[in-house]
Amino acid sequence: MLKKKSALIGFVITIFVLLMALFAPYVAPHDPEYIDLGMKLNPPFWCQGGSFSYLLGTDSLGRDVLSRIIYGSQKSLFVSFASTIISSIIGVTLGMVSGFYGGKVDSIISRLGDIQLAFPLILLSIAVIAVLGTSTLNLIVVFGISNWVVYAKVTRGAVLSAKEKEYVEAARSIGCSNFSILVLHILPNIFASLIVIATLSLAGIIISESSLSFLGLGVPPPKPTWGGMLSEGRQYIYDGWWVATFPGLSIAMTVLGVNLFGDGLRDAYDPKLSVSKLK
Amino acid sequence: MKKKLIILLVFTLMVIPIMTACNNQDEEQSHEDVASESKHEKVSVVIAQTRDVTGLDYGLVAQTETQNISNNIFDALVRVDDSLNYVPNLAESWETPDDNTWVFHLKEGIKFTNGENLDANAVKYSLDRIMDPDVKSPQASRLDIVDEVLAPDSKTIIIKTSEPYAALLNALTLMFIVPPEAVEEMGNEKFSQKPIGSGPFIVEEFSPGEKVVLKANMDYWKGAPKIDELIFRPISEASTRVASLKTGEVDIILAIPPNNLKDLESDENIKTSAKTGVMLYLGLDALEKPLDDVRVRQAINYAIDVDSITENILLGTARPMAGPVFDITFGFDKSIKPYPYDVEKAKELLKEAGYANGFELKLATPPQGVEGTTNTLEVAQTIAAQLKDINIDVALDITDPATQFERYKNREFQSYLFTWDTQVEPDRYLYSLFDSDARGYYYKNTEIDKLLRKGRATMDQNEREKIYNEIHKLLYEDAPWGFLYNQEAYYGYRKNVKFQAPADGMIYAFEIEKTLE
Repeated sequence: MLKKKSALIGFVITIFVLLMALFAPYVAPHDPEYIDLGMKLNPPFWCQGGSFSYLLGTDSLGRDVLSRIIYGSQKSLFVSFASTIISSIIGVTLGMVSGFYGGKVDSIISRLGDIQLAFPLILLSIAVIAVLGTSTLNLIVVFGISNWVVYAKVTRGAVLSAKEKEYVEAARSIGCSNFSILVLHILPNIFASLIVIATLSLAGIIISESSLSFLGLGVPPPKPTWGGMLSEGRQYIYDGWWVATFPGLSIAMTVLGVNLFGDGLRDAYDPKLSVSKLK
Repeated sequence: MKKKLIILLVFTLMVIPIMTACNNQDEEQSHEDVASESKHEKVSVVIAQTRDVTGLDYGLVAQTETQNISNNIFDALVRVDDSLNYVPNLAESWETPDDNTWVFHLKEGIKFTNGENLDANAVKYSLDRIMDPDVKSPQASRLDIVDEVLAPDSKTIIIKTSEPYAALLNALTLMFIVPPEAVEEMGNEKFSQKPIGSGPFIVEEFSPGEKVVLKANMDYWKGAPKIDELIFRPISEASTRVASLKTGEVDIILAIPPNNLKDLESDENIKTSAKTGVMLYLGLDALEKPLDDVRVRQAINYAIDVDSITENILLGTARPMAGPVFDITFGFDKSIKPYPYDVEKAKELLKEAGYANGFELKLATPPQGVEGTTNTLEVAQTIAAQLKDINIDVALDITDPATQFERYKNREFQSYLFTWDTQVEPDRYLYSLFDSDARGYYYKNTEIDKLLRKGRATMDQNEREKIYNEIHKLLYEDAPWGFLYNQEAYYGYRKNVKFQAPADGMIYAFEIEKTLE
């Protein structure tokens, strides 16, 4: 998979951001919440007036932009990973139940999924956050609950085709319970496709999280988030372009990286979904 | 078949509202088209305020944004002119036969826009309505030493007070006169959504969150306004407000952020105008632990570096405040200086109070500046960082500006950033803010109450000044708030608009003119 250049680039970016988030306290040159009004709106080091102690400059309150981006990656990644895990667990469980048992259970779950899909994710999150208030946990819950449908649909399809296979009948004939058939025999066979979906939806959640923070509905300040930094920096776009530009670039790069990586994974592990190989 | 029917049903249910919504819009569109075609040069002035309003009647909604709108729909007995003198408005003249009696003579022949006569009965009804406990008017405390209002004939109003009331004229500038029959018929709730007055403009449309459209009252008793239409729009995002002014989408904006000032001043299509200002303060819940301890409140004052905030965030457009009294207010004690920035002293005070390890503090802040203030979120974050130095852990709660006042009244805040515009008359704001019966939501002090009532009732200016000096000193020491600063309120307007920042802080569009670009 890593032979493909785009996948390799995606892999490198993803790993880079992950490491950055994990080792934030060691990598960041400054405390991201430390306010030094005397140092406000310092430009990045290559511009006139910039200094090497603030590589990407400072924001309107004299906080180091680079450190805030590094710490901001923690929030973005934590929220997106946690909610991806939640939604994949919910989605896979419901998908397997619905595919395996069929009938009424299947149609109820499928209709539930259709209803869920009818609500735009951002709209739903805004409504929930407006009621429950802003906090990291609420964000995770909202994204986790509203993203399960994709997983459920894919899992259901995979289970439908797998349950007619010989190995399932073989397992059944030696007396395996439904549960162990599902978990031990079917799940491993669809795992690759799930990883692919998870990676791709991860990128979507990073964007949603940034949008909510941008709208002031994400993690409350002074905790740094990329969307929040973008929103705060917007007011200063004429006085200090770097305050909004770098968080924006970070979002773009990360999402691009994760997407490329996800595409690569798909090409390598799920030939059914691959478009590039057919060409 | 059944399935298909259900799908069809769901589909129609979803589509019908969408279709009708479109239709409404089309209709509105065509109405507007017709209107603009029939009258070619319709002069319309759009004013961008910082916050949406919940109602349009200032007698029921205590919001500055509502005040700006009410001031153009209604008239009061008395007005304040540009040099802050009280001048006749609905009342032609007035006299005080004794200290507890005021006699006002009304102008004759003024009508409300629904045809009702604006006579002494309407004035009596309006003032009684504010004082009626059932109405729960936020302005009631301004009239609480008024005993009764009499209307002996159709053009005379007699106001009897229980004690001498030095600030009565000031209070009356905020008492808008409403038409009795219309209010009775509509009820207060409905009236506040589409009020009727005698002012230079008539309410045409109120779409919450979007705009308030007023059209000129061509029969206004002072003459027809020079513009045909006045639109108030809430644009809470400061940068959007500035951009809308630059593109000409709006004609006048309130609260320009300091970092945009230079840019706007260099734009040849735009002019700016400033008035004395708006104060931002950090309200503290002095009724609950740990802020009930005066040492803790003082410590907070010592720990906030206001100078640095006004210099670096507000770029010198604000001055630190010494207590809650403006330096232009009558009774300001010049010997009182703002709390100095002294972290050591703050720590000591906290230690004495038993909070050496600090505590957690919730701070409610609007996401953007309200009224004339700007950069509130940045100020809040800076305060949070500075309080951390004395171990107070601040968690920011970003409030929705529209519901902020309700939450404030319901005591949902532990500390909060709030505003008040600069006033010369001390009773006008100190009484509202610090009297236990007026807004005793977060602070009660019987000594202050006594002095406030005495100040209100004292006619002798020297003695009155001494009383307010004392109030100033007491409030400074008791520190019911974290005292922050007084920011100059900058208004921006297009150069084809004749506008001036209002001296009393209330926009009066009767005087606004606009030539088409």
